[in-house]
Amino acid sequence: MIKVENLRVEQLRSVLIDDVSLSLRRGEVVGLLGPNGAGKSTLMRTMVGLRQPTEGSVSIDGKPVSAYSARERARLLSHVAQKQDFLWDLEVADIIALGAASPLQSARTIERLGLSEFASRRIKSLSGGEQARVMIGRALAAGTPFLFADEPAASLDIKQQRAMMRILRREAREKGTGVLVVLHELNLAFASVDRILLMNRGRLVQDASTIEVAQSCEIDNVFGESFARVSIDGQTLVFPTGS
Amino acid sequence: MTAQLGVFARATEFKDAVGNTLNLPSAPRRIIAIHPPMVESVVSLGAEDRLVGIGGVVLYPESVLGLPRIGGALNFSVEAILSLNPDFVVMGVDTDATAQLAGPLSAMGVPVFLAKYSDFASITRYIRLLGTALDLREGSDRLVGAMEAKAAAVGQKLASRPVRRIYLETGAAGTAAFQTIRSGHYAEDTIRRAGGLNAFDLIGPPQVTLEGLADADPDVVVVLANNTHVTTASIADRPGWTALRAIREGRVAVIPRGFMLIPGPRQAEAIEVLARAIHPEAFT
Amino acid sequence: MRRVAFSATLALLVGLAGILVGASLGVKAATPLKLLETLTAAGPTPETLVLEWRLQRVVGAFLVGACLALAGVIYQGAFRNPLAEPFLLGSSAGGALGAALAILLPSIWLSGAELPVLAFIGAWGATLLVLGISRAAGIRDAAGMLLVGIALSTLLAATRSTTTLVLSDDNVSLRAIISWTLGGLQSPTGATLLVFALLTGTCFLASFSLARGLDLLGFGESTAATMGIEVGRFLTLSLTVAAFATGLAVAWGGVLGFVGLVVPHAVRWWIGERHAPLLFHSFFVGGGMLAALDGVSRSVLAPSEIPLGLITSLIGAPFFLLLLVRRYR
Repeated sequence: MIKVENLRVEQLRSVLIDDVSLSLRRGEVVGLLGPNGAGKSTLMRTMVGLRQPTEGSVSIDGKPVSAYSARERARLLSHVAQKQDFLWDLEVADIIALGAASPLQSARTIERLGLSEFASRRIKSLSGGEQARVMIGRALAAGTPFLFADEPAASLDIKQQRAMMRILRREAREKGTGVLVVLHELNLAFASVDRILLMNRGRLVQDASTIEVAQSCEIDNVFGESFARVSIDGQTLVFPTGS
Repeated sequence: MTAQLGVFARATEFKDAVGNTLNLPSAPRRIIAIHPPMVESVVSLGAEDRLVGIGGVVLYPESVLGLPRIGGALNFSVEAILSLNPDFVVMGVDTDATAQLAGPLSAMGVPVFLAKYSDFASITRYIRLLGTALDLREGSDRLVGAMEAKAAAVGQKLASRPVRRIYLETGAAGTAAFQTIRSGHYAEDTIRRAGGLNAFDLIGPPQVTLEGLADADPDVVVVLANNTHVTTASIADRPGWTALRAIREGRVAVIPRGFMLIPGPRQAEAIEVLARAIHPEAFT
Repeated sequence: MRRVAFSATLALLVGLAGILVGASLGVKAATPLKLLETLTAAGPTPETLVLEWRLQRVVGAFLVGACLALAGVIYQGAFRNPLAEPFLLGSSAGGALGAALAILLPSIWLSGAELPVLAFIGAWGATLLVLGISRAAGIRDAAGMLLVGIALSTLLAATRSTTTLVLSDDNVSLRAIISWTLGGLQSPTGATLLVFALLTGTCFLASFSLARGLDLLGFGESTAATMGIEVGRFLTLSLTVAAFATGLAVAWGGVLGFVGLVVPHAVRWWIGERHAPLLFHSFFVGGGMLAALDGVSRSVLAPSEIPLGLITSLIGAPFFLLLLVRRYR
């Protein structure tokens, strides 16, 4: 389990993360939602060790993240960033292999993510959405207990978005991976994740099950919208009504 | 024109080695000489007491080493020169000094004597002209006379000897980048007068390799070096050099570098030293 | 896999071909057949001695080119910039200072090894100094290290000029120093060549342990970090290895520009950008290329030897401009 306790992250004079505590368990898919600038990416980067907290701690199975070496950390968690740089134009298969725990994992991941047709193509020749899938694939192939994905759905079309979330859920269910995923699409989140962390202005405003979050008014406050709620097949969907 | 103690009537216009006319109303008393050949010439002519400054990398003679320097191997200072209040500045025509100083100094009315040297004859010629300009005719006659006599004596000793082809090495970096002289260099005349001939006729960079040497097949190898660890033995030890006939026959000589490549009063000695290296049997 | 094996064999052949071409060219050209003939003939004749010298020299050129290419790949990966090259962190200035001292100071050892040893110490030492200063100053990014490198290079160049002026006894030795800085083989033979080869081989093998890290750095330092790379330590390690290879190249070949910049690019066009094969192929292509160019330097204006650095610059500079234009188009 990953535990975040009283996390505070400051930068110069501004407070990016303000007293956030949460936990991420193995086998669960957790959505991290909030408006732009809420601190979602910063929280994620701090949790994976890319940023040092000003106060508070992040620990994996009781041990602080900073106490692990980079290599140990890489075996425990994978992180897919919001935007990805590709300096070297590597082939998709090679990129997956770089993250993979074994060639078998590599091959399986390529198949599962539907990347077989791209396997020998160079990354820079792919579209943004295709590149995103490759980077998720790279993270999945590593088979780490925890996976952090920052807006993986950003460049994907609807069908691909749902497919991506299905894959992440399957990872969680079948392999016991603890997944934390930043999403902008509220309904996509409601349809795919078990639990939601709602952030606003650096604070964790709500930490509850999907249904609770969907039906409560916090999202209205946080996003500054008036949402209409609809229940379809037991699923709650929200629509901004613009008032 | 009569010359009497303390009183002399003299010409005021003199020509330097390049043909420029210098206006010297009185014999120069504050001389600046730039680069070793000029310094040695001024000293050998007997005007050392009139030398007020030197330029360039000068290591000989020791007596002048304490004089004010007006610049080293790379840059010269017009201000330093002017601060010494010279009435005569002498330098070689194709040197970096000329490019930097000749124009500015002349423009300021300082007489600049340009020396030209492409072979032994032109060296003696500029020394004579310099002697005339410094009002040291007797000194220059003596000096040049001695130089020419020595060169002639060497020539006599070598009279019946066959010319030997030599490789003259002026420098090297480690075990490679062997530097030699291009064709047309003034040292070629010295070599000729010493009974030799440049084994190379280079138009490209004056740098050769072992295979170039093997191909040229010189009779004698002469290395110019001031480093005491460069010996005939260390040269023979160079990788692959036993392929050279000159090495196998033991015709290798090491000569102090300053000697050979200073186109000044010591050139006659240089001719002799080189002749001894090329034709050792003629001097026993 | 088969594709890589095929191109790898090709790279090996390119390396070998380069050595053959270099050994065939010279004051007297010799066909490979003649080479074999002369070398297997009985007894050391002057001819065999010269050809042996030439062959060893060409192998030396191969090793220099291979080291530079290897270093180039690593520098480009570590700096995350395809325009990086092995002399960025003071190696050329340090090497030149070492060489100048070796040429000007009275010999301490009697062997001819001073020049390469001092040049190596200068080249590698300069980069280690840059890395050390960067660490001490808390500079962790490549751009910062580059600035430290520029500052140190300037200091070293000034030191060299001063030392040269103070120690040189006339203008002639300056020419030997300048010639060295323009690049040219030291003609290693026998035991020294063997040592050089072994050290080069070590660098070659060591570089493969860096391949994955270099690939990962291509995703950015953050991604590389989360994928297991201690970025600061990796940069220091990879630059130390690359600088060692550069030091070897400088010790035996002087300052040869553009090889470390251009060979990795040419090889990338050929086999792609993954670092493991890139390191392998660049090693042999760089080596073969320089071996062949050494032959050119000894034959075009024979018996004069054109400083090898001039040739690499003449070929490399237009290539570099081409790269620049393509990159910024």
